[in-house]
Amino acid sequence: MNKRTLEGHIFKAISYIAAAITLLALVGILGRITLEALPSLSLYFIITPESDVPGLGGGIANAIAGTLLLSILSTALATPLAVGTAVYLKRYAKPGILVRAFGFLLDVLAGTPSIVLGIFGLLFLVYYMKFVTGGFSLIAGTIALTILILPVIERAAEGAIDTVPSELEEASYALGASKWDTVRRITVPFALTGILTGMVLGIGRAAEESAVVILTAGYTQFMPEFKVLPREGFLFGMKIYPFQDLTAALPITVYRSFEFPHLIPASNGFAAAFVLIVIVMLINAATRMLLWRSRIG
Amino acid sequence: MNIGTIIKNLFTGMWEDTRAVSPIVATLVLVVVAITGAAAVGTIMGTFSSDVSDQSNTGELTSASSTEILIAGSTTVQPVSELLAEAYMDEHQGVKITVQGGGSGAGVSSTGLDIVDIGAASRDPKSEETAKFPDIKTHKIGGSAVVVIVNKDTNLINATKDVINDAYVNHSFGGNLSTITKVFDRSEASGTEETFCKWIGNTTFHSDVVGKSGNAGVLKAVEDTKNSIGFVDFGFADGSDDVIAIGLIDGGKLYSVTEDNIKDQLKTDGTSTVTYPYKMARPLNYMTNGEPNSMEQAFITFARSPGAATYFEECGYFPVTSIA
Amino acid sequence: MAQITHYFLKMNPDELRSKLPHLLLLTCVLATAAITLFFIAFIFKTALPVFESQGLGFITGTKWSYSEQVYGIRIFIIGTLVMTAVTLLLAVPLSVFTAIFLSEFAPVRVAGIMRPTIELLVGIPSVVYGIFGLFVLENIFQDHIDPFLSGTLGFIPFFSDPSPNSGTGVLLASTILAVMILPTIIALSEDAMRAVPFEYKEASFALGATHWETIRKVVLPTASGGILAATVLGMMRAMGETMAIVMLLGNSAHIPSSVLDTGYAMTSKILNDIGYYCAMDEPRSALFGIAAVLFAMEIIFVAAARKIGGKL
Repeated sequence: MNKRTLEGHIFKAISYIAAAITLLALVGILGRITLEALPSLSLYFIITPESDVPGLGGGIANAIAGTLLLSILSTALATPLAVGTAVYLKRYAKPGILVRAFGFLLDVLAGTPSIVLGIFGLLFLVYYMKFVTGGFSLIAGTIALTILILPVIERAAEGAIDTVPSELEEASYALGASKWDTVRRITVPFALTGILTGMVLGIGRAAEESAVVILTAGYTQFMPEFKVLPREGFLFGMKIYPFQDLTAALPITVYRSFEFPHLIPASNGFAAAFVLIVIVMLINAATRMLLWRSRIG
Repeated sequence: MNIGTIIKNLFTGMWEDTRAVSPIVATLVLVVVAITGAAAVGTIMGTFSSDVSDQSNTGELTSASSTEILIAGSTTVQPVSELLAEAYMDEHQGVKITVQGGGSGAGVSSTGLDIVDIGAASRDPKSEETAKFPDIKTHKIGGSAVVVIVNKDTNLINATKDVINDAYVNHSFGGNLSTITKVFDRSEASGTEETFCKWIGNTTFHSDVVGKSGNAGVLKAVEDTKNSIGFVDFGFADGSDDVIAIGLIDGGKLYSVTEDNIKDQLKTDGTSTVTYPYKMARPLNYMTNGEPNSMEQAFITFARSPGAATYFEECGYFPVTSIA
Repeated sequence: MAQITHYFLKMNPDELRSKLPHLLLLTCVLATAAITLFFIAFIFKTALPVFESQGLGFITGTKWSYSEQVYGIRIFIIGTLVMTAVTLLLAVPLSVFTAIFLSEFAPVRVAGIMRPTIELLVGIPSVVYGIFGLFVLENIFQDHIDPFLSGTLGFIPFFSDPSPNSGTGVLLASTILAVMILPTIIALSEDAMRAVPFEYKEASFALGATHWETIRKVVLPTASGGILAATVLGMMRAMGETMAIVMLLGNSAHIPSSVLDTGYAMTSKILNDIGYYCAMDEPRSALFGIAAVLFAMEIIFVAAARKIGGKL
């Protein structure tokens, strides 16, 4: 065997080993989390809020509901802004220094360390804007998370718009359609797959975030409520549930098992982590399946 | 089919090639999604309806501030607050008490800023805090003490204040601590650390001291690390078999860590050492911004009542009734 | 205001209908820009007092004391940089070779399973990595990896173990961070490698190059922009990580002397102290100062990454 083939084989082997290590590490972590979670994992644990269980821990329904609310609301808030921005930048704005500067701004926002966003949320949304947000609350958490995932969705939308064949749009213009009609009937529908992928990424990012959520949404042992009660010192003199109320989230449940290891069994934390991973995975899988269906049909 | 196989099939089926999704796997995933969704909606609707019934029972439109309390602050007080809240809510239907952490300092400032209804602190408010928030009222609900702990393999039973001070400030180990190699403190600013600093008389530690988060973090680190030393609240040390709370030699006298010693010290006015260094003993406080409203007052009264004592003992603290 | 109303009144309904979408979209853009700029301005404005009172000493100073009102963050900056560097040393070779495996060597079936599995792992929350590192890995590091490293390589100061009885430290934090950023770097590097036109590779093969030579001389250089951008993205994620680092790095205020030593990262300092000092003006400004410096570093990296050319 000559030197060149030998070198080839060696590096091929290194690649295989690297891939094996990566896979092993990742599968090992998932496996270990599942294993550690098993003692706590039960239907009761998943559908009971912590407030219904004596002592600390014991149920995560409050956190599941909170995580779903936080991630879905923030995605719902971020998507129109993000898609609007992407469409404008790609189809309306004239390319130039401003558009480039805007792209840079979005990249900066995308790379923002979450703790920086967290302390912004704590000081501005929780302390300064208390009369609107109600202090630690679902709104404060949602707004902070919206800022966090806005660039994620925006970038996915931009990428998706880039894949729209220009022939289609040109054909639309040739038929006399206006710019808005073309965007509405050709560009956005064609880019929908990419936009949806971006939304799923956004939901996942919001669901896994902990530093921002702990500093803006707080934590509660209770399920979200849906009601309105009078409350002094708040906007309009009332407190609107669940928006101005505290919200729990799964990552915070995980963190609590680290904070109180003598009161909450570690398996509770791992079980919450497991459920969180499964939720993100299911949303992912469901979207993939949906997209696959729509592509065939 | 076990869960592992299902997950494996999910992966292979779903992603190796999208066309290869088997109808069975697709249905399985849909079923799981449906069940999760149904469970979530069901529980949310469940709380919704029970709220409605609660309200119709009372028959009046109550204000949010008269049915809810948010407690936040000291992580030392947090577990006992949660137990108290649970017990209180069992007796008072329609009342909702939420408990958060954040640290003693956060407890004081968020009380002053009206972010929370009741703040919790494992120390008295400092002068700069009372200057900034003059309306804060303090309600003592119990007491506890900071203890110095070492890993149980160390076989140490006591140490002098100077030696402990040396370990933290100079990272040098003399006297009874000569076998120690690792020193832990709290990573975040905390009432526990401030109390300890007050006792040794130094606020800046050597840079080799390793910070751990929360009483629990320090406890776990000392449990897991041979020849290590740390400080935690008595309640945390009490429950662990892997650490020894060492006796403290202060002013030539040995004060050993026992429940009775700490309780007896807490019974004094706290300005001189009787059975445990007085600077290491500390109150557990609730705070309100101004006078508490009737609802907050009712809860604070409950926390100070003899009936609440068992929740303090469960956490290793001393209820106000036992130290008054 | 009056001008704007006039502008709209002047238009007939048809004109309005055609302009409205444009205006709506423009509103989206302006809102996004306003939110972003306000957020950045808020951070820097809150941090301003500490820059004024400390000057350059804020970045170069090593002492941080609330009671003496001295705030220097060199220790935290170096802690963050050292940790990030070790993370990249661990993660980049591993992920680039894994990406090579996926794009060049892996059978279609294997790559088809591995790729989405790796993608899914992006979704594991950092706090989960944190408790995994603390409850599972710390003991392994303490009992096996640290003694082994300091035993075999301890003569190099870089690998000596100043705290033989503890697993926490730069290496533990970096290992977890490396696992955390692996999926990001792998996915983006692989994309870059697969984007290399097949003609380039064919040309290389036609000239008699072996598969590995083609990878090394054609694929990697062509994809280098994308790989670098991926690395920068991973680096930013590592620098900005908070929860896991608070649990694993050790939080001791000194510059780590070796990879097994403990340290203190900028993000940890902010999280540890913000709750306590949020109501006090000066300490709060100091903590926002750390955030501002971190933010500034990040902005520089973003600019660098854009210069390199890879889209983040």
